[in-house]
Amino acid sequence: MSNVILLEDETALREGVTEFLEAQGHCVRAVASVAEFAQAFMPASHEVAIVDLGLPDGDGLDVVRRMRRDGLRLGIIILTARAGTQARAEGLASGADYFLPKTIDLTQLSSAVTSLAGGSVR
Amino acid sequence: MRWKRWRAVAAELQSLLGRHIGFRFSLSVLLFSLFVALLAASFSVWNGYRKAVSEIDRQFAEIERSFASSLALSVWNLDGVNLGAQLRGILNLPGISDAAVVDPLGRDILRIGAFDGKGLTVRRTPLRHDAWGQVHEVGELRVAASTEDIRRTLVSEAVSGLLGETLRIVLIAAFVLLAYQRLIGRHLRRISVALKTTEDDGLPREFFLERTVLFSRDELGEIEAAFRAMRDRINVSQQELRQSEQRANAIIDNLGDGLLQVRGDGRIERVNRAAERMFGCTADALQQQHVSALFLDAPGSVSQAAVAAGADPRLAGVEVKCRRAGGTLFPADLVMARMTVGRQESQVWLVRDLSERRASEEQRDFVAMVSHEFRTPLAIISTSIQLLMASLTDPGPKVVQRGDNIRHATQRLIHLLDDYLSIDRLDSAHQGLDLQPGDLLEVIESAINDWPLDRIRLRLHGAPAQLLCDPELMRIVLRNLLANADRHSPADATIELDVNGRADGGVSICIRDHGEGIPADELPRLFQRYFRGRFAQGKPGAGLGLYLVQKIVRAHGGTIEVQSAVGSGTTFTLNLPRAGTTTD
Repeated sequence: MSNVILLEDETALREGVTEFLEAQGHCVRAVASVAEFAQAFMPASHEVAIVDLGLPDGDGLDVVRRMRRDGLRLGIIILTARAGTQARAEGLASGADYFLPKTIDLTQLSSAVTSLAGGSVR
Repeated sequence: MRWKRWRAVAAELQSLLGRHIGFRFSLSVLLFSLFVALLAASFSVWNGYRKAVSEIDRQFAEIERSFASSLALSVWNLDGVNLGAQLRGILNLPGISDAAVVDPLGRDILRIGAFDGKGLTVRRTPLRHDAWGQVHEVGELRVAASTEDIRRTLVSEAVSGLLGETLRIVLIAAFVLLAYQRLIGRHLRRISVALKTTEDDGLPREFFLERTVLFSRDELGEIEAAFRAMRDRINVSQQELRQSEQRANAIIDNLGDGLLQVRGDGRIERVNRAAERMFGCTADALQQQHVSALFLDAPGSVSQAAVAAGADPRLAGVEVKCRRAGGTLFPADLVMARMTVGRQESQVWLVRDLSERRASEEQRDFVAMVSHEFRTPLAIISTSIQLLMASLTDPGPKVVQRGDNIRHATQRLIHLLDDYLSIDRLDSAHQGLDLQPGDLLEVIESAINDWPLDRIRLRLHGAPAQLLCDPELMRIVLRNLLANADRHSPADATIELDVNGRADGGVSICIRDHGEGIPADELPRLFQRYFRGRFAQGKPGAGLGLYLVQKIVRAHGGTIEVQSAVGSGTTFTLNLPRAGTTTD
């Protein structure tokens, strides 16, 4: 259905989310670090990016900001263990469309991906 | 030898006079009276003498008148017998000592007396005889009167009078001395003893003069009354002083910060109770120490701070390490101020113990860390169970139930962490509410999302579209209240959630369940931290939920009320005053 890139350093989560989204019919490219993301990300084809914030080689927020600064209009979902109003506000201010705190409600994630891929992309 | 003794006596007398007004007083009376008496005696001698002299003059004139012509006749007639009789008659007159008749050449015709006595007054009268129509100068009468006797008499009279007078004066002076001692001296001594004696309360001792009431309003009486008034005034102002000192001491002792008054040489002069607690020893023990013993890095930051305080009367806080009795260290904020009382300069050191703040900061950091570190494994568990459930083609109802149990358990742990974080955030002075105009409906919906659609019935009545609140915290409030309602009501009962606009622009949110209710005796303690009711036993929860709910609602300026009856259910009503402006 849509092309998704997932940036998540935690293997179990990365594999679980990938498996779930692929079962939903999405095409998922999963990466574990900012460096890998920079290599694998294809601005022209990826419609949705799911980004974790605390990563071994950087902050997911910077990745989100860079994509928006480059004028990319794909849908962005932040998936994070950072809780609290301030983290949410920062996340949304960086240009993300959804801020989903962990634990992940897969149904919620699925509907977010679907809505972003289904034409309501910025 | 004798001269020396006299000088000693004079010195003794001088010191006696110097010490006793009574003696001076009576000596003055004595000397003055003596002077007056002496003056009076001198006058009386002088006056007596003057009278005696004029008496002699009168006598001489009488002699001239009575004897001059008859004496001249006797000389003319050369009648020696008659002449002698007359001269003897003159000598018999009182005061006349010598008498003589001399011829015109100055030779004696007849003389009685030598004319050489002391203090003689001599009168010469020419003797003239009228014969044959011609006046003849026949000789001269010389009469002498002595004033010596008169003088002697006068002086002896004066001296004896003066002696009597002196005796009288001495008696009067002695009486004056006695009267002075009796009327004034003894009272003055009593007053001075009273003034010199200080009683335990610092007041001069009270005294009572032993006098009859009749005389009690004289000058001494006034002094007595004035003294008593002064004593009362001193008493009052001493009490005021003591009270104000007590007040100041109470303030100092009740200060949360430790206070050290430090002398210029670094010795501790005074400490308050907080300092005793902080450093773990008594004021006496602290006062024997040098201030540097209480601070770990005394040569460094503290001495620099002391120097700076010397330059600047007030010094902003420096962070130091303090040493408690027994050697343990604690972090503290140190503020110093210079203080001058009278001519003595000292410094006031205020020590604020930072260990509690440090501990709560560490606790907060720890909770934040735990929250963050727990989230990822919990997310893995939750995601995995969701995937596991999705992969089963036909799970039985029991399997579905167990999967939900695992998911809800992870969810509950996350919520517990959220609650702890929120309490810390509300307690923290630096962070607080993050107020923003939020979509009210979005907040409510995100809170009810955790439950199946038919579990909660939401009704809106004139509710504002936006609410000025901290959305994250407001979500916790609603989630906690709904979770309580869910936990304490039957699975098939509906939880009612009514959101109503209020006349003042605020919003009232009402959460009603039809569950087991809360016993009346538990209602007052419902919002206390860690309180868990009887019906909550055996159900999950840490006793934080309602405590946190009330804390958040109050932080928003709102109120929360609860109504409950056992068996018929519980209603929580939130009243939130601050609503955002309604869009469109």
